[in-house]
Amino acid sequence: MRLLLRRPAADLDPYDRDAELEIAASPDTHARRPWEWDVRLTHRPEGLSRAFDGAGLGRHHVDVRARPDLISAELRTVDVDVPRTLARDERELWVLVVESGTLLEGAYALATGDVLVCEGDDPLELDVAPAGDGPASLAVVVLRRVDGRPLRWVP
Amino acid sequence: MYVLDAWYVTAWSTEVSRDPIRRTVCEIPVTLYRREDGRPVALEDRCAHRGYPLSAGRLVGDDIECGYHGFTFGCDGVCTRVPAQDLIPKRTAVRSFPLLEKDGWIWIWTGAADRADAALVPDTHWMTDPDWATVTHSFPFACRADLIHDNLLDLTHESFIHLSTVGDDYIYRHGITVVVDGDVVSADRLMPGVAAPPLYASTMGLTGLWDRFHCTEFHAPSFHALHSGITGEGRPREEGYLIKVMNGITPIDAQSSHYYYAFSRNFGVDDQSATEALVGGLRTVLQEDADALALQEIGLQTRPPGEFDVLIAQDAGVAKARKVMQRLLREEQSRSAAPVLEAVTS
Repeated sequence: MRLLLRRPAADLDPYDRDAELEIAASPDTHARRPWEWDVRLTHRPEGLSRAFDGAGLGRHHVDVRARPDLISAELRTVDVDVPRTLARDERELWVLVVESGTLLEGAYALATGDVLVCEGDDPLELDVAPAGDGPASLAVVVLRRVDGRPLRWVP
Repeated sequence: MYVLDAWYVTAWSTEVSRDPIRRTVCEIPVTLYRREDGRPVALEDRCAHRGYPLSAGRLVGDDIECGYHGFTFGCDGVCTRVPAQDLIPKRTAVRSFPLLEKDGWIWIWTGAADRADAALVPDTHWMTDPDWATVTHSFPFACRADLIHDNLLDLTHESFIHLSTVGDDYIYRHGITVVVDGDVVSADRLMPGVAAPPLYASTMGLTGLWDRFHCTEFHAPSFHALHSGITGEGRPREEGYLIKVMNGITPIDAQSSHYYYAFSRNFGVDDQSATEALVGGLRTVLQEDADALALQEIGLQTRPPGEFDVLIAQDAGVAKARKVMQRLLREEQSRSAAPVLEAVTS
């Protein structure tokens, strides 16, 4: 499953320091199950985070919080200056944030601020290529279950 | 609860005339008619006097006269005459609704009139474009509107509900891409190298393998544009046999909805036999959905509290659309609850 969010940070109030916007979370309804992890856009990072400042979206952070006994989290940066294939393990959930530039991912053009979440057995390979005048840069959040089972998620 | 600051399809243009009709939109009774110059009017279908439906009255010029005691209202809902007396009480008015007539549909804005924005009405130009042939239907559905939204955002049901028409056993094997852009949620599925489904094969006489695709584009809270078709393997979608299915989903009440449907194609535009075949085939598709969702509505009404849907990856579009709807409702409630600040002058 692929979930593409177009510039979700545009809905993050730049003047409200407590504003946050959920990209993905498990569970999304806290009353039903204990919390395990979430990926947010926020002004007040609490976990593994990376700051963004561009494309008119104001300064904010991609922030990853996770229960360490259940979920491992990693935040990578990937530069896309030539076409390349990003390979994802089926057990992983990825959140890709376009930090700068524009790139093509399959049939989709991803612009700065767009967020792509990939989960499950499709797709396992992402063919990306720069689409603008220069290279694009991605921040990639990689989530895995500590026990090795596939990390499944429905928005 | 309903998102009210929104446009809903309330009638086909051909349904509204100088004879008032009644519709219910989001539990609001509405009467529709046309002025003498042809422009449509929508008023709350309840006389301010004693609640009699104005739709049971008659038109006097552009005004509507209640059939019970003759109270008469203008297109703006203001009472213009009380036959039994000269004085018209101040409260004698009915609500008037903004309308927009486009491409054969009449859209009604059910929220605060000053928030009605014509730019929010989705693109439906295929319905009247001469390069496209269009088949239309209207269907009452005995279910809440949310079930129809879910149905359109997860088309894997075609493999089971619509086996004789648009269904095939490969649909659910292909993953989806869900795109969220503001209040628009799209669920896109590409099915490369497949045989054309029955409806396409019989109508277009196609054989061999094709790239099939469908993308449900949900403009919350009431309209879906389903961009569908088949194209040569590896070829751009725009080159193919294209279908645009427009779905105006209008809540009547918590357990029933009205489904306004338009199916436009860019191939065999002048082929009358294809059109006739599609009329029948699409009526079958809609009836199959209506029957299925009526059963689902019963199931949900009898589901115990604390029991919830078990969503899977193919439900990603459904899940995201529900969140968008919840956000729209929250925002509307916040607007309703916000205090009105009055200017202080010294």
